Amino acid sequence: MSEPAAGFVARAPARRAEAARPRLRLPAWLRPGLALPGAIMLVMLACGLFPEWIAPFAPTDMTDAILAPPGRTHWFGTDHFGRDVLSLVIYGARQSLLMGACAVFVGGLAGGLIGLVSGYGGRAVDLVLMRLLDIWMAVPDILLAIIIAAALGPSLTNTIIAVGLVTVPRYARVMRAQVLAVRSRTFIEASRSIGSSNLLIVLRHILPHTVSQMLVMATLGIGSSILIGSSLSFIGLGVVDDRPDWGFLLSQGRSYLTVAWWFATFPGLAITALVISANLLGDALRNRLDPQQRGG
Amino acid sequence: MAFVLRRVAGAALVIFGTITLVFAILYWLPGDPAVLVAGENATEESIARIRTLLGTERPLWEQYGDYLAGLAQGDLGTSFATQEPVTVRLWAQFPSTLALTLLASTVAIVAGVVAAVSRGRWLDQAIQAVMLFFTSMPSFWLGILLILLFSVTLQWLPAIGSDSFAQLILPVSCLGLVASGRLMRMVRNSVLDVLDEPFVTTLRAKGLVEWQVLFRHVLRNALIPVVTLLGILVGELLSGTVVVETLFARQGIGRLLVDAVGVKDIPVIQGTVLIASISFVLINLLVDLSYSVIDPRVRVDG
Repeated sequence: MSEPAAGFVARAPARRAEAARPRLRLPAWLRPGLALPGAIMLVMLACGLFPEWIAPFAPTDMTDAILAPPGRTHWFGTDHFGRDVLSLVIYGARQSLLMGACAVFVGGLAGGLIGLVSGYGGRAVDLVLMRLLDIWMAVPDILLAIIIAAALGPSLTNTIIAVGLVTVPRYARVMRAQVLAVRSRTFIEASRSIGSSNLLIVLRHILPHTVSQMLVMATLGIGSSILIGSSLSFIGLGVVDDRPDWGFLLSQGRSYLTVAWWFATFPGLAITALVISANLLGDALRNRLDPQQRGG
Repeated sequence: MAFVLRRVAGAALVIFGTITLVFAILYWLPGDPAVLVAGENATEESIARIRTLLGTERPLWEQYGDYLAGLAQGDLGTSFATQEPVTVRLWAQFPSTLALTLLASTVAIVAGVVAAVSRGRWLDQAIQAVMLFFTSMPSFWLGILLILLFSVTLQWLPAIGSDSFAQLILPVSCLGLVASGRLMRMVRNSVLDVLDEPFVTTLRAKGLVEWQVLFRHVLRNALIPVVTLLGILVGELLSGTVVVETLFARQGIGRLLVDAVGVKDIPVIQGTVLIASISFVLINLLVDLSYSVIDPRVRVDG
């Protein structure tokens, strides 16, 4: 057996859905397990929940130090209004995390439901739903997010809906695969033979078997949701109000690249750290919850 | 043959579905395009006149029917904003995006293969760590970092514009690096998997030289997952161009889309997304069909 670091197997095209997401893995000597990504996520969560305790300044505090470089008072420098970039990044965590978590919830719920119906509902239903998902996935992620966000108008809620909808197919596929795998097992047969209703079988026997995979998908999904969401903000279709998220900060900072590198750099670093942590965490979770699934 | 026909029919169905989906989403757009086209100080009559001109007050199914009929003749409609045919605007932007996408996939593939082949102990691991970083960062932030380093600090390369080759380097690197993170992992892992298979040992036992084993047998077998990813990669690059073209102020389809969204130029949005999705579907169709060329066994379970 080779080390699981080399263990991503996807030979047949039938595995396309999985092939789309090769596992993100660090080499063994850099792999922090759950500790480091977990710690980063916790810190970010804390920033999202209690920014007013953590941030050194209020996000609305305008000082005379306009576009000041990082220094002792302003660790991450200041922006074009003289606001503290560190504080802005800390306050931005709430919007970004909220957006990521809610988008995953929307996508996971809708996708999970579609996958469940598709996997349990019989061939005809399955066929129709799977073709619909093919169409859904045929529009590249950001393009679909852009047209949905454009149709709805820019706001936090609409960004969540747009990003959530874009990610529906991936959850649906995983859910369906899990349901199909469990459906034919003997204990389902046994339960049916003693007269359990479909509802009972789904709730008691099928869903519990899908939880761990969906949890892994959800954790991995936070990263990609935040990436799509921040791209929307960057284009100007995302969150645009007085509580900016990281993507919005980044697109603002971009205008001051030549004079203030710190303004765009730190929000970007925050997004990247969050996405890496979510990916590593999802991967570690997969190994813990489902050692048999290591291969892919 | 039946396999090929089924795949082609499937792709046609997906394209038709995509057309419908994009049409449906766009006509939910709140805000009346006629008002936007007319400008802020327009009178009621002129708005109504523009509305008739644009045909946006007719029933939705009629617009949809006309749209399909137009598409069948290769007519993507007329831009609300500039009154030009959408096809003209798209064709003007297409070469720029094509150049960007092609070059970026080349960068991604080369980076992927190089990383997979140079499987040294720490070099390989260092590349993997860097690639994890690249796949996890928003492409526009990587772009910003590249601009900071190569345009602002070193002043080697122009940051914006799309007139010269030099202006292509940064956006291509940006797109290519983000995409190559995944591709590299894929190439590396599938090459390693195939190397572990018993037939490789057999080949070696038969006395084949290592490069023959690698190029004639291993790479061919490792190709399938990589080709799969290529299809997905192209979709990603198409998405990525939206952000990268905006960031580097390049011309191109992505830029056209973003600008069209700003003024709610529905025919242009529709046309852009359709072109992107159709290319995506067609590329994946080609990828699917190429499996049977690479590995004849695939046809059976296809």
